[in-house]
Parts: sequence; structure tokens; C-alpha cells
Amino acid sequence: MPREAELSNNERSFILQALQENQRIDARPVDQYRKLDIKFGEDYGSVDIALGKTQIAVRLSCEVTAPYPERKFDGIFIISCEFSPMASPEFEIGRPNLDEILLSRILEKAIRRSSALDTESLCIVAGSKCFALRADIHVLDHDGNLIDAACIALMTALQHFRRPDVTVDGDSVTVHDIREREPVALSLIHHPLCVTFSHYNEGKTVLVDATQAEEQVRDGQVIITMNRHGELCQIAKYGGAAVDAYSIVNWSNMALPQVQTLSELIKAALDDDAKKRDAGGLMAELSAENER
Amino acid sequence: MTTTILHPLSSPDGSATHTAHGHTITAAVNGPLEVPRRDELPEEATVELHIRPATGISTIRERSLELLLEPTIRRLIRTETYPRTLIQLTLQILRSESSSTNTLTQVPALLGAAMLALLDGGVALRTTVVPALAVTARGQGAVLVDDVTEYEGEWDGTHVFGITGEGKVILAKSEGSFGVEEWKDACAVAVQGIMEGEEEDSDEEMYGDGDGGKQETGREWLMGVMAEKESS
Repeated sequence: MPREAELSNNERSFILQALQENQRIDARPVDQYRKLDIKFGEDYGSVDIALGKTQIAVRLSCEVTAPYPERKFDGIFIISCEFSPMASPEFEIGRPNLDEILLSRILEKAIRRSSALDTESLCIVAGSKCFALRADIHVLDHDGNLIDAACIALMTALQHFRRPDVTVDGDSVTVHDIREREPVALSLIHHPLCVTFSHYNEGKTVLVDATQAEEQVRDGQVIITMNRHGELCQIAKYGGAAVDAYSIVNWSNMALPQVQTLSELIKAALDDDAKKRDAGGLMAELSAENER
Repeated sequence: MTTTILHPLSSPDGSATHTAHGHTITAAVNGPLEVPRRDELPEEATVELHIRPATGISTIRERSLELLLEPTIRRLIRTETYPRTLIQLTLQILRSESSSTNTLTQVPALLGAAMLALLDGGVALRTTVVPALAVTARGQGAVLVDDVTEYEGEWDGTHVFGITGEGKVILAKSEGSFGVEEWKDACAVAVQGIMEGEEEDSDEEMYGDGDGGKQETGREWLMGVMAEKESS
């Protein structure tokens, strides 16, 4: 099985020693993200993001199906993040590795279980018809911090996506084509984002947005998810060295400004794209949406 | 529109993003790598090809495309120069225009992306291959199409060819209704279009914008992409 190239001992000690002096190898401040670049495809819900060298593509798609019998009033929302050998040769198809399991679990907790998406709004006819929304996350290039990048990409895609409009008349349901009726935005309750803190040196040094090299030498990571109002959705610490409770409290305070900055960047990108799409200035008239 | 970006990704050895016939594909090649024991071949490299759809899990459709392209690509690579190693190719479909539902129209885009990634990755190759898509209508001649999504006209048969540097056909796959003569015509048109460019009196579309004068042939297009890489 191919393996990812590991850092040499010299590289390890170089990075660690630099970190002890609060220096990162790419000269970033410890609390700064790399440059975030958000691009939208022509289709709704198609988002490509680049966070430094990490590149992630998200594609949202939806179809009409029958809801789960035990959840008659809910639509279906599936997040799929299968890694491919494209990002790193160590990722094998059909054999999920630890990173992949971790990423899907975190996204599940951060976005699905924190009810970012109102799945009830995907219901068309209770018990018989609903939308099944599927998010495919493709990791194209892996240079660390996949969790934050995937979370940003997915939240952007959810805000960008439009589902086809439907009319219900008794038992018959008409799904209107995108050209026939202006498609409808998803109903999102809040916009959680993940911030991963990588800690070193018994928790004395802490970094956000670690690169792959920095991830390889860290003692452990703590993933904090919150929305821009500072509401905490989840905290995860999978293994690694122990950290004391004060650090966790401290880091959750540090996460808020990060989340707010990222939210601003996402919003700016979305507004920019909306302006491009609204070429004739007719969007306001076409849309039947109400301001929430 | 045929567009190409070489080396869009930093971690794989070679990568390319290629758009053709309404399909956008990102290809990445890694190799030579350590090969799992069970796949190891004593005298040549193992070639692995994965095709991943933009949405949903990979199905029998992707498997059939893999089965079509994998032997073609394996024959291109000088596998004997990398014994007991693995050359891993991943083709990620990023976008498919809804108007191009035909599976076969994906093949030229996939093959083009794979070829460019292999060249970008510096994998030893026997020859290069340029994909071509030709359409035939019953009772009419074959036409080489640059972009099937912009092609105006009805057709009955779709033909995909992979043309090597020597002008030989390494891959041929067809769909629809057509006769032997029509197929031969399509094949000849594809070879000619890739190797020599179009004839003066025909209205076939070729790679590139072709603003007046003789249009770029498929081979010149591949050369152009690689020359740009050289100079950068």
C-alpha cells in the first residue's frame, strides 16, 4: 500500500523548534488562515475552494424520493466524503482511512446534527415524497486542514444551492424545471464553521489552519465548531496529548473571531456570485422568497 | 470549448484539468509508487485507473469507462521501465453539461485529461495519444466535432478515437446506428483531423479558435500545451 511521504527527523525538529519560538515555516502568524479562494461553477451548489494548497470541490445534487418511514416529515440529507488517491496516494478507494472517517464524522456532527439545514423544508408530501439532498465532497489536493476547508466548502455550497420549485395539488406533485420557475434556496437555520486548533509543546503553542507538515508533527488537535453568533455546536478532541480545560475555554473564545472572518469571506463570495447571476436585475422579481 | 490547465494540483506528480465536449475532468497521476504485494508484477508496472463521478457514488457506468480506458493507457506507458511499481491515475469528473448526456462523449475528455496528466507527471510513454470525436449521419459523410455541445445538426452515430503520434488508432468506440463505410469514413476523418488538419473546402471544426487560415490540428494542440509548460 503506498504511503504518504513522511517528514524527515531534521524537518520535524526544525518545524518544532521554530514553533517553540512562535514562528511558522510559512511565516504566518499562529492565528491566521491561509488565503481562502472560493469559486462557483455554473450549476447551483457547485463550489471549488482553495485554502492555500488544499483544494476541495463540493457538488450538491437533489432528487425526489420517499422519506425514511420513521421520519415521515423530514427530507434526506447525505454528506459523502470519500477520499481518492488524487489528494494523496495513501488514500485507497473502498478502504476509508482514519482522516476520512474523522472528516465525515465531524461534518456529520457539525452540520447535520447541529441542524444547520432544516430537513423538514425538504419534505414535499409527508410520508411519500421528499427531496434527497446529496453533498459530494471531493478532496483534490491535500495540504492540511481538510476539516475546516471541507466545512467551509460545504456551508458555502449549501448557501449557494437552489432546489427546483414544486407545486403540490392533492397527491400529485409537479417539480418545476429550473427554466420554468426560479429555483428555491435551501432553508438554513444557522451557519456553523469548524476551526481546528493544532497544539504543540504541551499546549503552549497553538495554531489554526495547520499545513500538512505542521499536522504531521502536532501533539493533537481540537476541533471547535461554532456559528458566527458564537453558539458552540461541538468540540471534538480525538486522541493526541492531553490539554487542560482552561485551554479549551480559551480556544473556544479564539474560534469566534475566526468564524466571523470566514463567514464574512463566504458571504462576500456569495454576494459576488449572486450579482453575476443577476445580470438583468430580475432576480428580485423572479424569486418568491421571503426575507428571514 | 476545449480548455486545459496543466498542473493545477500540487501534491500529485502530474495533474491536468481538461474541458472538452461539455465535460470538465481533473486528472492526477502518481507514480512510480510502492505497489501492494497482491498487485505486484515482476517485470512491469501495475497501472491503476479510477474514474470518479461528480455526484453520487461510482457505478457500473464508471467501471465500464475504466475498463475501456485502462488497457489503452497501460499500452501507452512504458511499463517495463518501472518493474514492481504502481502508476496510479485518478480521473475526477467535476462537471458534465446536462445537454451532453451521452456517456461516449465523456471518453475524449477523460482520455485527454489522462494524457496531459501523464505528460505533466513525466511518466515514460511509448507515444502520445490525442482523442477525437466524430459523428456520422445516415447517408452523409462523417464530421469531426470540436465541441459536441455546440455542434448544430442531427447525427445517428457517435465515434470516439484515440490517435497516436504515428497516426494509428489505439482506441475506437462507437455508439448509435451506422454502417461499416460510415465508420471507416469517421475513422479516416479523425486520423486526418488530428494529424494533418482539415481540408480547405470542408467545414469541419477543429481544436482551438482557428481565427482564419489553417486551423490547429489535435496534434498541434497537444504540442502547444506542452510547449507552454516548457516555457513556464
